[in-house]
Amino acid sequence: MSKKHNRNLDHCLKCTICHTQCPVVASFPDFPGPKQLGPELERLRLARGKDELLEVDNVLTYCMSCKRCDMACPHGVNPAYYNRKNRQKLKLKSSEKFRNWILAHNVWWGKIASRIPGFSNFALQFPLARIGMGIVGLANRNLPDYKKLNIKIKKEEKSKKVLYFAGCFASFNDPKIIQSCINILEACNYQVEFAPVECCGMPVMSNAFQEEARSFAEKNRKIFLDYIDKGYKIVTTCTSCELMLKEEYEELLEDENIKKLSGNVWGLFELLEEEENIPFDKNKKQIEKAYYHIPCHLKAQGTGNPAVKFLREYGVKELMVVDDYCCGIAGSYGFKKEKHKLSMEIGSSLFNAVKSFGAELVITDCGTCKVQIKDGTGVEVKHPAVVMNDYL
Amino acid sequence: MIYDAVVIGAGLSGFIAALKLSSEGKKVIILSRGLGNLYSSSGYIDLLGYYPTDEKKPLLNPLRGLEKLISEKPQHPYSLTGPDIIKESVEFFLKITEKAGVPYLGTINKNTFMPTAAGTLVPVTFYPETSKVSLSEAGNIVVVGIKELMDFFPAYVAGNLTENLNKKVEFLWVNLGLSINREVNSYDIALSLEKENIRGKLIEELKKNIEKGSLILIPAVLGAKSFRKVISHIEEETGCKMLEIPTLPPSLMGYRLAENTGNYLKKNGVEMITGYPVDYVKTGNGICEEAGLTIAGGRIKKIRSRAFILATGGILGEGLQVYPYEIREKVFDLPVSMPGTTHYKDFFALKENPLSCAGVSVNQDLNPVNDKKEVLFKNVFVTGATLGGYDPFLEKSGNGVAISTGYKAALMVMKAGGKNE
Repeated sequence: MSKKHNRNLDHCLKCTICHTQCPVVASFPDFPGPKQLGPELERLRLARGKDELLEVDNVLTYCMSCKRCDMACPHGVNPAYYNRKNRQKLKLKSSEKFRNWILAHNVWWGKIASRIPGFSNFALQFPLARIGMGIVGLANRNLPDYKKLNIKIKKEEKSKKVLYFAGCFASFNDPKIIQSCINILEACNYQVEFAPVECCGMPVMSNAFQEEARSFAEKNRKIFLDYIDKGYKIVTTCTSCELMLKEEYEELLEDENIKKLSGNVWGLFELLEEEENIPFDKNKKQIEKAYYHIPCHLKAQGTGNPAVKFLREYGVKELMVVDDYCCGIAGSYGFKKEKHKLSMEIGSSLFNAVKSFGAELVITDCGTCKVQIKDGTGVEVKHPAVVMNDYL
Repeated sequence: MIYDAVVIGAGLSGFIAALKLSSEGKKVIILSRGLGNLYSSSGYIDLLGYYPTDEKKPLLNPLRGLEKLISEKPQHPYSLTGPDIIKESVEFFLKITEKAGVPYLGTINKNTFMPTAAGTLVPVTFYPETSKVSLSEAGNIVVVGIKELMDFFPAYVAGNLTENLNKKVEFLWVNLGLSINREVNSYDIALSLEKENIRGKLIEELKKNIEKGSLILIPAVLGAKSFRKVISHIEEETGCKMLEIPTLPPSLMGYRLAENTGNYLKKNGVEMITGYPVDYVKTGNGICEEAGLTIAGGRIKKIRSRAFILATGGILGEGLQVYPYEIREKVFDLPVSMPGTTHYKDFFALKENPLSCAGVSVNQDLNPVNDKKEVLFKNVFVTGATLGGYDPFLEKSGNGVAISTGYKAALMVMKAGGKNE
């Protein structure tokens, strides 16, 4: 256990504010909530010995790792940290473990399926495939289409350099995000490059394959530090990859250099906020009404909502931003059969807010939030980079 | 980009300052480590309950008590704020809470006595509209306890209230029949009561046992986000008035005030970054230029502003950190004064407790000053519990000081902004 979090356990005053902010508690009353599962029971677990788990810990798989509890605590306690750590120790049924393993390795399936998108998308709709998925424990829900990656990139040497970490969702399901990000960075005079990186490791880590997450992080660390030493910034467009690289790598890799890595990771719009010359055009036609959804993992970073500023200034006349709602999908969580209904229930407040606002478009940085919101509202959802690309 | 104000702290004084500034078109951002103690509060606004603090009888007219206090204690935050601004600030509070969906009632010259979970009566000046009731005019009063809620004992409350009101108060236990397989708290019960079937069960129990026209005292569990609908539905069906009693945390009455005002200010363009404490300030020549947070990844996110409002909540909010031989102010390292040292014998004394009175000293403009009364930072304003010179627990003045000093800080920021333009 990280020393940083070890000390903070005793700061819990049982004020229970974290419990009132947990999206799972609000929709699933039996869920004990962050205060109880986290700091309250952690003292008992520690007293009993490192590997001893409590019976109630089986419900830990219902924690979404949205980190709203971490952000709400006035005293610096991180309940989500204890939940994730204890999830590693759960002894799951092998069928559940297998199902989790499939979801956690979406990067492998994505690499294959995005090469033959037509066939893959068709096959996933097939009733036999659906039945198979159901048996394995995957939810019968709309899956995002796989798309082939086909991007244009300038090979010009510039003084400002970026290593773009696109993430799995953009790479396999929404390559428009990648092209938009490249266009925006190039318009700001950046040299954009790619490297043969691994998946950031968020899906494997949240499904309790900690060792594998560590090996992904190890491989990426070598590549990233190499580029950082040459003066590159690491830029990402996925808020979960961003959180993973900024925060979780420090947990996974105990290494003095890791601060150099996490300190050089930027979200695209976080980087644009620091730019002097903004390449967007104020005179282009604006979108009338759009709803910006703040992904939970962006809220957890403390950066504020950098995309909102640009959307309001250039792209959208009336932009509704409400940071109250979690969409409920929590990455691979909403694709699990036993959690799908709960996931849609958690997101229902958000879906109602979008519908009653009457937005023609929802804008959000997170790939899986995008899938969930499209499912829950029927409204089109776009990444802010894709929207701002039209204003270059 | 330069903000007009950075508010450090997301409690009542910080919220009031941000709300006032944003209503005047100023660019405000709130930075806070977490969601603050407002969520755990009773939701009542105590302007002034007791003055002098060793008076056995509470004040019936807080305004009169306030006028006496201001004439006798020139260094008290109320004296520095001044009666006119105090009056303006509570008017603003009433206006803004109504717009935010959590309307309050009360007048500045009258204290209302509300029951507590110990069966005592506490003087409050402003209270939620849903708690509008006259204890003295009530006929039959019944205290209702909920089996699933720990730490609320209706017999205890009824016994003490009978003595304090000089009128027989009955009690009743109700079982909601919640099938939740764990220990529940008041928030869980509030969510359950937002469901028709469980609310129906409560209504049934109340109707069966309590005559129409009674006053029902019940722990504050009558709904979270849709509390107004829950309370009016129960009142309609039972024909009784419901008066909620604030509970131990999670306190729904504090939650409703915090959530509704928080959402209202965000909807009105106030930015909020929650989850990271301000751990960097750039100062020079008596001015603060920047505040910063160490965000995820370890970089410092720097925010430039014309003014900074320090609303960090004192000792309980962790804006002031207590060490064995000193108390330190966490953001600007401002000098913290404490009148004398605390001795264990003083703990329950009715004279001001030195630890409760500890805090930052300020001038009339709420700028922090040193012991020579020199202003340390011209564009920094200190509000609420971080201020020294008053004992909120004995006076019953915590939320009143928060609202009036938060409001005054906003006015000071606007005044300074005018000068710069």
